[in-house]
Amino acid sequence: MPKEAPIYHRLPGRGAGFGETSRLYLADDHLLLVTATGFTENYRRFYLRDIQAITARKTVTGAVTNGIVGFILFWMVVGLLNASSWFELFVWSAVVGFFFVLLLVNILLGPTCLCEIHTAVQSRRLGSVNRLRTARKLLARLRPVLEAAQGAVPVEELRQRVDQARQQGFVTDAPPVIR
Amino acid sequence: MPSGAAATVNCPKCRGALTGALCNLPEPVPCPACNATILVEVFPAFFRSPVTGQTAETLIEEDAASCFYHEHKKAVTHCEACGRFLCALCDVDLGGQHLCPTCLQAGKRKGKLATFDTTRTLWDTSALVVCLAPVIIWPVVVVTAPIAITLAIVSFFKPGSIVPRTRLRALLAIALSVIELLGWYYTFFIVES
Repeated sequence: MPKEAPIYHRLPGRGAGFGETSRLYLADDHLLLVTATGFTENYRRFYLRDIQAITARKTVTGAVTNGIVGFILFWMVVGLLNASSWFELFVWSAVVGFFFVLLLVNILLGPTCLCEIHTAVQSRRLGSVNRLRTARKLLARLRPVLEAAQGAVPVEELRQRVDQARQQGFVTDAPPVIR
Repeated sequence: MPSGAAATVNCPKCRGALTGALCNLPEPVPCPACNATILVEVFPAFFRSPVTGQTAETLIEEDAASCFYHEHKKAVTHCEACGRFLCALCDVDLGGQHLCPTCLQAGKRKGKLATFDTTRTLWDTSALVVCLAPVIIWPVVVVTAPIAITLAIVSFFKPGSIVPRTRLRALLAIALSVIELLGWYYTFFIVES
């Protein structure tokens, strides 16, 4: 009965939350969201034919992190400038270097985002995609795969259909008129 | 994402309906309603109508094959696991594989169908943690190291992660546990004596 095990390819992005890490993998017919919680791994499958949309929105997490790390770095630099011995100078330099690298890495990784995958029955956050740049990379990788699974529709036609659905939605969802 | 009777593409932040011009763009754009920077990619499945279930055809001809579970329904295929004839109602298409409900249930229960795997134990990671964590109160390694070795050996035989993964953790756990045991033996027997 068992079919041949699917071959998984790792997709861009890696996320870490409270005691868990998540990664996204691509198989022939589905995406696999793997959430590792120390001793176990939890799996969630999204079949390519069912994926309706992928959305990402920019969050302030990256900017807030930059602010906090920048603030700490400022005071560390103040400490470094007031160092009175070689030992203090060494310790402060190490701490300043650490926070500087942290800030630099966070800036280079770009703005943070919250990415979601939507099917007809669920919307799920993709914990592995938490940078806008990663989201763009992921979409670039998935676009041809999803087109192959669902059939290619020109972008203009998709946009027209979105507009039509929006119009229809306004008509259907309009509140009742009280006369 | 679909809202109300007609599915609309909504902003991931304010949930306001978006226009087509904001979808499938290469770069993020601001939402006209909430000004959040968003990136929305819509796929053709969004406009597909919901799939309705199949209905089984009633058996009319005497000599035609009937479903194993519904004797008055016409068989359309057979179960790839047990070979029983199945009507359209009993045929479960699982990623191109046709199964009957009984085999599906059995496969799920016995863990033979990878599609139903939602969680797996990482024996190799467990071995590594059991090996490394007690180092701070290191005399207890005489108890934890054999456990770590056992877990590492178990990881070679039990199904591990379904995604590609090396044996490095298990091998590392065995190597470190052996070192811990040797260190313990050296400290408490050789140095003491």
